[in-house]
Amino acid sequence: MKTKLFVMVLAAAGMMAAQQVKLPAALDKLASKAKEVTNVTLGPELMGIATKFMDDNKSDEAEAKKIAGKLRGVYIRSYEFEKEGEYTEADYAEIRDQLKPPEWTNIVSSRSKKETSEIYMHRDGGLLILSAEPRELTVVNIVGKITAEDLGGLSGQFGVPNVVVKEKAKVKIKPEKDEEE
Amino acid sequence: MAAAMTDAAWRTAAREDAGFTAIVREHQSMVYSIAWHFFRNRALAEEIAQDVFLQLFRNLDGIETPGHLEAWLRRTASNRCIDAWRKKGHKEEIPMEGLPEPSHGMKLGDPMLRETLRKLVASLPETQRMVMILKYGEDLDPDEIATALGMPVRTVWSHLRRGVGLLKDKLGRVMES
Amino acid sequence: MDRFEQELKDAMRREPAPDWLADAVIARVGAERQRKPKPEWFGWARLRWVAASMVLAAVVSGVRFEQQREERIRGEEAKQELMVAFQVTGTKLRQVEQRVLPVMHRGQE
Repeated sequence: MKTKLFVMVLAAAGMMAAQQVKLPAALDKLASKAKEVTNVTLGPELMGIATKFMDDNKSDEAEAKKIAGKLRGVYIRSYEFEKEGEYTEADYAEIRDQLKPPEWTNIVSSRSKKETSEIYMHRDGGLLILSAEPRELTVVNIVGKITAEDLGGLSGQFGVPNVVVKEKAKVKIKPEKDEEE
Repeated sequence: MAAAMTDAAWRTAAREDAGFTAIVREHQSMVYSIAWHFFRNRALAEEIAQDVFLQLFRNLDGIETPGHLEAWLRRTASNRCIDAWRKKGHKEEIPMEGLPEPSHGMKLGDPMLRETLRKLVASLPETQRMVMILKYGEDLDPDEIATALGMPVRTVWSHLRRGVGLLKDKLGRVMES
Repeated sequence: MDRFEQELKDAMRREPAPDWLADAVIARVGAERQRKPKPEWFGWARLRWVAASMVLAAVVSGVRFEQQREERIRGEEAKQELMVAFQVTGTKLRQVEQRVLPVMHRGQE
């Protein structure tokens, strides 16, 4: 019985570890070129501490607490640059290389000449958002059991209109001529 | 505590236990509020506020009048906040990443707009942030802000102009509607 | 003052201090006073509010308070970081929506 429990705990830890994407060293080097940097590294311990201090009487913190309770980690690297051309696709290629089926599914992908926006979901519930714009690069990796409803809550609660994300739908947008500018 | 007292009587009362307690109760919100708007972190604001009053206790002999006390508290709270921020090693950048874009339906008088404004102020470079807090939170004029922060008045004006400009820019057309 | 500045003033109005703050200050003052007793001629001997048992209570509560304070600071920092993280995530999701939905609607037309 104890062995079975031990194996289950190991398996759970393994699942969570698989959802956490290894962020390449190339990204950290971008910080020195960026005018604004957002760097969030919240592992399981800090997630637990953070949720303890959330106020159930404040709607945004209550919503965040509900979602955070399901999560094991949140990792964000976001860089905003003064001018274009401060990073290349090679800087985040290593991330894409880790997002392969069957573990990861690309549920939304929007690419144009100048911008790339992709959302991937892990089969065990994790999430990765990759947003590459001319003067900004953002990677968001959420580890845990996040659902489509939670995504709606995240985008809706924090001051923005709701996103409708269908779990199984896959939307690929081909760049159209009038989009490329 | 200060009402209808001579300065000498006030000084005597301030150095007694009941008097010092009254001073803390009278001014705790001012000190706490400066720190809270600066850090937007309750625990840090509480910590800073306590440190300021502990420092006051140690320096009470040098405080002459109620007006002097208030200016001293404001100056000490402001400088402690800025020093604490710098010790934490924050870069002089504006980390406005991740703030919700405010242009979706927010109007003047909207509590969400005010919350966004508070967050935007808290993301300004530390000196500019404190100038904005002292101007709009504590209603000080530029001369008083200059004295509190130990800078020329023209620098205060510059921080105010740039700070307001930056906030208006970030809020976009909301404020023009 | 224009409307924007008035809005700013409303946003920056004073945040009330917690009720217990003054008591915490007095406790720390008491603990400090015991670490450095003042000579009679300063006049502190006139303050009678520190009996031996109250001093001990102040020192003990000061130590416990320090530990709780550090935990609170750490917790608040983690909470703020998490809120920023969710805001970034929410903003990026919305941006993707804005890019994707118009093209989806065009596809449906």
